[in-house]
Amino acid sequence: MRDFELLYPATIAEACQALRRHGEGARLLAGGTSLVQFLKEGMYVPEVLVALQRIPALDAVVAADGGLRIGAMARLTDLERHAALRQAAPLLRAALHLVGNVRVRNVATLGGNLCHADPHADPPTALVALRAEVVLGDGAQSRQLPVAEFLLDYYETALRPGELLQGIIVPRQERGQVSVYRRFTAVSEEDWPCVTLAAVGSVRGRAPNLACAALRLVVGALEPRPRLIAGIDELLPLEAGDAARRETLAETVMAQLAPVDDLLGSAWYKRQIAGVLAREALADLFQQGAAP
Amino acid sequence: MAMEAGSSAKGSSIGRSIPRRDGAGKVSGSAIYAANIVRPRMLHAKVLRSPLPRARITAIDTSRAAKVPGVRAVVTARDLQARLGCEIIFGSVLIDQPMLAIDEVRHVGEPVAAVAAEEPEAAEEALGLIDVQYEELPPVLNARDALAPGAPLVHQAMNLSGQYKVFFAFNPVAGTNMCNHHVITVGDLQAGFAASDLIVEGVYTSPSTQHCCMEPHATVAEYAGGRLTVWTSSQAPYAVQTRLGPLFHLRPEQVRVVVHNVGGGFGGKSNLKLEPLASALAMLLGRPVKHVTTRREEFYITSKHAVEYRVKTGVSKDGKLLARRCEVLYDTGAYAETGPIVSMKSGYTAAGPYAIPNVLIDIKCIYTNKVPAGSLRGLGVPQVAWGHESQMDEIATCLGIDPFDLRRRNVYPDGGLFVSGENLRHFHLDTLLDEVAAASGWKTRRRAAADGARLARGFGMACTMKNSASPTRSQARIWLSPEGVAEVRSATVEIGQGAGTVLVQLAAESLGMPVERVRLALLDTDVVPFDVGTISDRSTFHMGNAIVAAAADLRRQLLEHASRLLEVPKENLVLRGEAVCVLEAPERKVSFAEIVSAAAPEAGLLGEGEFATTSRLSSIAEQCGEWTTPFWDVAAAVAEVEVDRATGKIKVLRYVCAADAGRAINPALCRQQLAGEILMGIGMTFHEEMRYENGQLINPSFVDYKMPSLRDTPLSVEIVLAESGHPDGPFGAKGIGEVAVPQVSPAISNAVFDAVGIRLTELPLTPERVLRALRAGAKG
Repeated sequence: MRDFELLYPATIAEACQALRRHGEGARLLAGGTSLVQFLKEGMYVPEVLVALQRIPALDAVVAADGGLRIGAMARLTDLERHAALRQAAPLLRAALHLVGNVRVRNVATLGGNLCHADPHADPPTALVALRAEVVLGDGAQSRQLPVAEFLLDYYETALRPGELLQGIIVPRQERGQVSVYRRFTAVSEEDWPCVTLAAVGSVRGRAPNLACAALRLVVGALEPRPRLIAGIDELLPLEAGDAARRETLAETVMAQLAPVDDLLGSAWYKRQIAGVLAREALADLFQQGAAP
Repeated sequence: MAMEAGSSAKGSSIGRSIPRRDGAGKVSGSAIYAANIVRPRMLHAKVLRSPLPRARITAIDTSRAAKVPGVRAVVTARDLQARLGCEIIFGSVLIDQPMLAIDEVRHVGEPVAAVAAEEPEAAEEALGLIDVQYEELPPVLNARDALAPGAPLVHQAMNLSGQYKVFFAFNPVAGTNMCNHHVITVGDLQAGFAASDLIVEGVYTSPSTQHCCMEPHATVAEYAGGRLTVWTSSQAPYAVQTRLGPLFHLRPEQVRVVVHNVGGGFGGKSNLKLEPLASALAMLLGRPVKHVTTRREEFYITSKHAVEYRVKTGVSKDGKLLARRCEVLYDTGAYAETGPIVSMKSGYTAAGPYAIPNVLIDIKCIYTNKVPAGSLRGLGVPQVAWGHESQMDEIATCLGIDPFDLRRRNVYPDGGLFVSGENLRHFHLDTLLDEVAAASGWKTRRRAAADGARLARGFGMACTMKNSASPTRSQARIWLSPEGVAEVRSATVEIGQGAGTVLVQLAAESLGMPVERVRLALLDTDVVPFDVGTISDRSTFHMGNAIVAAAADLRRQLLEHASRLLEVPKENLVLRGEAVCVLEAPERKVSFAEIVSAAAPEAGLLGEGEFATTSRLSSIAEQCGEWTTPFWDVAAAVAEVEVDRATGKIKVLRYVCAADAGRAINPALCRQQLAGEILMGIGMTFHEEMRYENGQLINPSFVDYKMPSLRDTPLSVEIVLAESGHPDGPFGAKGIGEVAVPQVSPAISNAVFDAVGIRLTELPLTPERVLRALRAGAKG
């Protein structure tokens, strides 16, 4: 690892100023769990690290219009344990719980996780399913973007030079909404996921005559950004007992994905697993819908 | 045959799970490792590694690198040869590996140039400024291709001056890529096949894997006053001494090797690694040099052999094995390392632990342009056992015989005639099969009805044999201080296995002292006598015997001195409670401290002992009936698995292993060793593989190369610790550091077959391989 200067700005404005001053030579430091790996591997060789730890209240979780606003520096463990968040967005909580291990989650932040923009990360898939938005600021002005538009490519986001991620707005999951997060690791249990899947929907009726009336499915880890599955509405309402249509749904998911062969599995295998996760997720949603 | 662990005499140190001697230092962070060593004026070395699997080096320009502030030297092979005037090629069996590539690189990651600088950062920066011009050459990337006529030769000329040539009947074949070729024959193979009712054939492959020691390789070398001192992370300090010295025209006593703690070895630190280059730089620059590798570099230093094992077996319809032909290809990478030994020693057990009248084993150890492969826990046996134990299961299925019964019908009995021509001595694998069957409930096993559609369960079994190194020698000293504290001086390395603790227990028991009054000396070749190395399960057995002998020498001296002091013939004296007492009047006694004060005031008494084995592997060549090993590692295991038909994922629900410790000196350490071995076997079974693409290693980091995590362990691991009491072991003990690895992969794969009817022949058993086999099976 090469030497670098470590700055601790006291405000967002100062942090953005430092980013502008050092340009390409600067990187933001949040929890550092991914950044330090990249520094050690020589993938990033920054001259300046702009650490966000001392900016007050950047880790706060506050009620926002129709949901919660999570400060970029909120740590994953704190969010997992946050009662209001758990209630407002159980899907996010389920995804956070699967990130790395407890030592990583004690340090890693939600903002850092998003800005790192690794397609294998769990939170982005869940956040896209939840229609979450990011708040970006340059110290003077701020703008809001859907997470789905914030993530551009491997390790690439819509952040402009001199801009940083201030917070994430997570809409409250509606009453009666059911959700599920699934992750499959192919090699070791402690590994990047081979496939992730987040589903948010609503289930009507009484068991056994249940029907899925709304469904938003997002598949992660397979492509540079989470894939929102299109064309699901045409299959709705989907009755629990309609095995053929449930299979059509799984096939719809598999058909839209463009995975690549890598160390986590072949494209063929990843597509099979995405189908398995889609079937499991649907079964899980019906199960939740059947619960009193 | 089992002996109760608690059956030893009251107060005995044997059979007690005393806490590890190395534990407190390691958990508190005070334990010293080679990387912690700092010497005055010390420089830091880094090496530039080849980006290509095979290429000619046409030019190296070091001028820009040399200008980096803090850099004291940038050297190539040519510089070392010219300025040191010594041999820069080393090896443990064949002398074939240069400290820095000479004109040609033979694998990705091979050192090409070295930098020594005041700070590691400066050395690192300089590496990026070395300009190397390569002319790419076509590489040989697997063992099969390397055997093809006209394949490029990894080494144009093999140097045959290696010192092991005499001991190991190994046979490099000039003009080929084979650095060892050997054929073992017993009986009449053709007649055996002709008499068989069933013939089964298969090919089983295992990939290269990495040792993944917690501590990477690290060496500090210093040359002063005509002596070379090396602090290093080595399993074999005397091997370092005896092999390093000749490179620099130094006599053994001019080389001093110091080994503090070693954070895992598994065979990867059993031969010269960083020591030659660090020493060369230290001698060249006249300053101490430290070289510590990064995790990424670890993947380019040494590895486990990828093996292709082809086996054909003839069997009678009542399940007697009549003939077996094995061809084993060991991919040893670009340098032989211990490959010729690995291939020989696991190769001759390739037909498995079964009495088969007609056998042919064809062993080929082959150079390729990949990372060198050497010793790794199990020394090739896991790769051959993967094949022979999978095929035993296939035979059982074909004949409709229970896999346990098939093994029991064919397994060597104690005293059975082995392929080497020797009668297997103290070989109780039959009993272990019975014990593992009983402990696992094999005969009454029922495939628990999991989810019928998606989840399926099954049981599998495996049993294996492995030898220990021989002929080898261990020497030990025990110093009894004037205060009556015993200090064990032994070159056995604490590599995390707990050897130090066990050796203290053996010394304490032999001297009738409490373990608290026995300590271990620092491992410094100036202080501790010779031992060939902490390898091949030999520490408890070989060094243990040497310590028992040293204690006997000390006891003899104590009795002689006490006899004089008490004026009683020594025949009437006995050692008891750190004192020598009169047999018939125990109150008349003289304490150890009193004896030492009287006999050797201030100096203390020194007991010396030695243990050497004469059994040798070369007897295979002659089939002369000599022993090939001082003891046999034997174990049997049963796995119960659950297979997910939708994803191909395998979960190990239960794993039961019965292994023979001879005598468990420290039962807790034995169990820890065995559990660690099983976990390592789990890694080889499911996770670990060095993946190559066009000669490039594509996963040289723990992000991409996966070892099992705690969440990947079997839900239950049960260990049956058998204690058969080896007649030649110290208090009946033998080594158990490798015994439980080889059964893991076949036992699990056999259980997968039992569960879902698919036979996998390639490791690792990834969920994708399982799913593909399930889909193929469904179609067929």
